[in-house]
Amino acid sequence: MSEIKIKKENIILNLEANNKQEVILELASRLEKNGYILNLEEFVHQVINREEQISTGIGKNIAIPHGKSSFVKESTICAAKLNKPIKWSSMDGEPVEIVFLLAIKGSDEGDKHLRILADLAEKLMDDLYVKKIKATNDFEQFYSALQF
Amino acid sequence: MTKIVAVTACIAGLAHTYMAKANLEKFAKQKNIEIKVETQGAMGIENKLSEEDIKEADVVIFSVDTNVADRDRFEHKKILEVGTSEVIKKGEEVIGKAINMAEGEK
Repeated sequence: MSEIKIKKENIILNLEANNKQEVILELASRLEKNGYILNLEEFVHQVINREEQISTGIGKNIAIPHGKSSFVKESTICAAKLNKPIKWSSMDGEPVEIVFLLAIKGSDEGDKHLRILADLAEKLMDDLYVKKIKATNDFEQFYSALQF
Repeated sequence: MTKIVAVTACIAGLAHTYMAKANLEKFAKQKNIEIKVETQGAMGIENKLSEEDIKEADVVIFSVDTNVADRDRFEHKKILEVGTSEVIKKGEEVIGKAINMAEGEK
């Protein structure tokens, strides 16, 4: 682990939510609170619009809603584990229990953050990584399992 | 030995492009097949396929939801075209299909 990719302050365990809109709002609110997002309402609106074009439920109980927006101050990732699985129109039809919200700064032409997001996307195809993040409900363990 | 080259690309170029790449590599490896995957995403073209890569390939996989840049390079090749979702969902089947296409040629 060379560098922290997902910060502790951006990780939520046992998130209570009833649908994808609530999940996106909760995660985006966390990012706003931590100073990554300038306009919560606009950002959430963009992410949900994106979600309506193509669902980001990638299967294996994981979803990766994302938004590239001028309302993002600094690109980052927020990760959450839900206290119960919810519907997400996933590719495999299964409900979602782990969500990564990717917030990408609109003018982010520097590739560093895009690289991290691409690496995460690749990592999610790794069954062992997925198994590890699903296996734990302990915050410290979840935090360390999430790094890639 | 069967050789595959592939191009992955999605609309936003942020996630699906790279998930499709990872899945193609994963299942090719499982079947002991050589594969090289070019990504056409938000960071531009990476791991670009050379003329030689393409020439040597028995089959080409386009795992794309959008147009392939420089599609001319693949003229006269056997091409399997699928969406990124299909590769993310059924990577093993897609690789299997590509292998069948490649072997059909020999």
